[in-house]
Amino acid sequence: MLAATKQLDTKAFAEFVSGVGDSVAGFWPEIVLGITLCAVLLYDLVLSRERSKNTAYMAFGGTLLSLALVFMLPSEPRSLFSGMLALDSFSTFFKAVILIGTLVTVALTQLDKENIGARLGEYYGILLAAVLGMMLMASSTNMIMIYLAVELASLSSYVIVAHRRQSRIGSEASLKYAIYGSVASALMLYGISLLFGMTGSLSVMGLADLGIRMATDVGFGIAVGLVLAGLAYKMAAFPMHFWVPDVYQGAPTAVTAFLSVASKTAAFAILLRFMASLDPGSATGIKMADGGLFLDWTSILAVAAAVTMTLGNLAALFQTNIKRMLGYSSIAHAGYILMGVAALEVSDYAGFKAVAFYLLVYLFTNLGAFAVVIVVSNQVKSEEIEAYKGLGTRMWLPALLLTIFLFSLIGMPPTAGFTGKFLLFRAAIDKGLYWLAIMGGINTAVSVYYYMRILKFMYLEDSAEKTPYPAPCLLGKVLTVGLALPVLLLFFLGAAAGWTKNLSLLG
Amino acid sequence: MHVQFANIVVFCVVGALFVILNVSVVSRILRPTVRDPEKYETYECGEPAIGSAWIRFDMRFYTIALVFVIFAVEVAFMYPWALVFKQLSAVGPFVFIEMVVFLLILAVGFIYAWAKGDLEWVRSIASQRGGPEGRSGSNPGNQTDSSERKNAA
Repeated sequence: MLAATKQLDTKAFAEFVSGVGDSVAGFWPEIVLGITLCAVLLYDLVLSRERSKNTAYMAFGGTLLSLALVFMLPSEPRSLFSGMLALDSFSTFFKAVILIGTLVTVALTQLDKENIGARLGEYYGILLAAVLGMMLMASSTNMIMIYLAVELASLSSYVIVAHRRQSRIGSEASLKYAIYGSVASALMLYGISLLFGMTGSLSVMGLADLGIRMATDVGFGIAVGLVLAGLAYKMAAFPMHFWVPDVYQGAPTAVTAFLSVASKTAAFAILLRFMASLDPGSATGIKMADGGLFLDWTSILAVAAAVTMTLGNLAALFQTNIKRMLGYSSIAHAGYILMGVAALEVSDYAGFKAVAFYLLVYLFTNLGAFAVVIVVSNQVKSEEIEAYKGLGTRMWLPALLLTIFLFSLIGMPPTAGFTGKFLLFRAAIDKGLYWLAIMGGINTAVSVYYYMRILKFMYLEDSAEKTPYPAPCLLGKVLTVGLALPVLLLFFLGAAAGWTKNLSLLG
Repeated sequence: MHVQFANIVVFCVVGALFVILNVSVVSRILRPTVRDPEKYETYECGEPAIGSAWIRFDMRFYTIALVFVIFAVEVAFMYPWALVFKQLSAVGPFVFIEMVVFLLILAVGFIYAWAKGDLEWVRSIASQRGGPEGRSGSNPGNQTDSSERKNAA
């Protein structure tokens, strides 16, 4: 033992230390977020809870600083902390999307304050922990790091879903989320351990060689499938989608909004990185013993996409609660986005561009829709779709803005949802996945029904009461209008699509 | 052809035989036979077992267990660190700073648990009956239960 310690290579260690020093330079957004997290918790602990608004300012400020630091990150791709994380424009883009989502979530929480209840300091601490996990998800290139990041994000999400302690439906949602989630993460960990057993390496980049070498091995297919199942849970895709409606309905609306965009974005970031190293474009997959292709990744993902969107849309048709309906709509959108992942072509990045752009659009659209739900429920005190009757005259601004968000969710011009769906469908068609594009088209047509039903309630049906509600508070107005603007602008701004074109992946 | 697996087969067989023989044969021969009602208790340590184990445990058991795990992990990390500390600290203060950062983050969690009163085993009845907003998060499980019971009553 002593002899072994004597032989420690201090020179190699000195190199390692300087490597860590360099890595810290690319890690400042996460460090700032971590410090803010601790500061919020301690502030809430030491000072009284009457100043919980200050913790909101602290969380907002810390996230804003972190976002600014993300934009100042060095642009040349490199690896951080000896291959644990990647610093590339891909991870930077997704981190920015997650942080913007967090900023809006903090504001939504203040809007929904009466509903969420006391102890907001703890709420923001847990929220920031989830964000930290999601930012690590966006940049992990090591499978253990991926697992840790997913767990950090998941565990924080379970707690924050149950933040309304008196709400039975919230506790039920959190319990279901935690139990299903632990099964999903166990599956993923099992897949990771199988992959580690096959390669002896935990690096995601190492999968590419393995995919070619082990392609005939069914075990390899199972291992990858298990990891994909764990990720499908986080992005609410078939076959791990069943937690979505209960959790979306039971969680505080601000938390639902956060989970529906940030969690999904982070999971798709990992999925893209994972699938890119398997290179589905080069016809890899589970092969039969004679070398013939049994199932390739493209078809597996395409089938998952088709089933996910169909399931989500069909179930959404019959919902009476708007949060539950948006939950099923979120499953359907996971399906549309998976369409882009199925069309992933490492050589030209078309699938990347479409997925990244759609996630950006979905961020603003879905947060906007939930912001309107909060504004309405603050006045109407209900989240049932029935309660939206006659809202077009009684609350004209939220109703108008909700129309914009729903148009974007359908994918109608002139909203960004159209551009996003256009890119996804084009990626699928370019790849030759015509049947998938047709499925997507049929599904979009089906989805028109349940989105339009809300519009019908708002504008065509009259409620017994005719007097207009008081105008929403300033924060509500600023938030909803502020989220509607990018939804409209991203349609007109073709440049934004060009911005996501230059995403490059490390390794 | 799978000769290398023969070792494992032998290992499994010997292992199974070892357990079966010891439990059912050897112990029967060697053990003293004392027919005493106390021998048939679940725990033979003087503590009579009362009722079923399927009861609702106090939330505090879990909290204490979690706090314990935190410190167990902390020590597990500190042992290898302490072992190489002397050699590696020649490189610079990095080794020291790294552990200080780790300890500070843990300390935040510790202070949090402490200030919330999760380390006090005996608490005043008043704080437990204080209702949901009585004492900030001092005992989430009990408070929710008691308030829900109040609502039900």
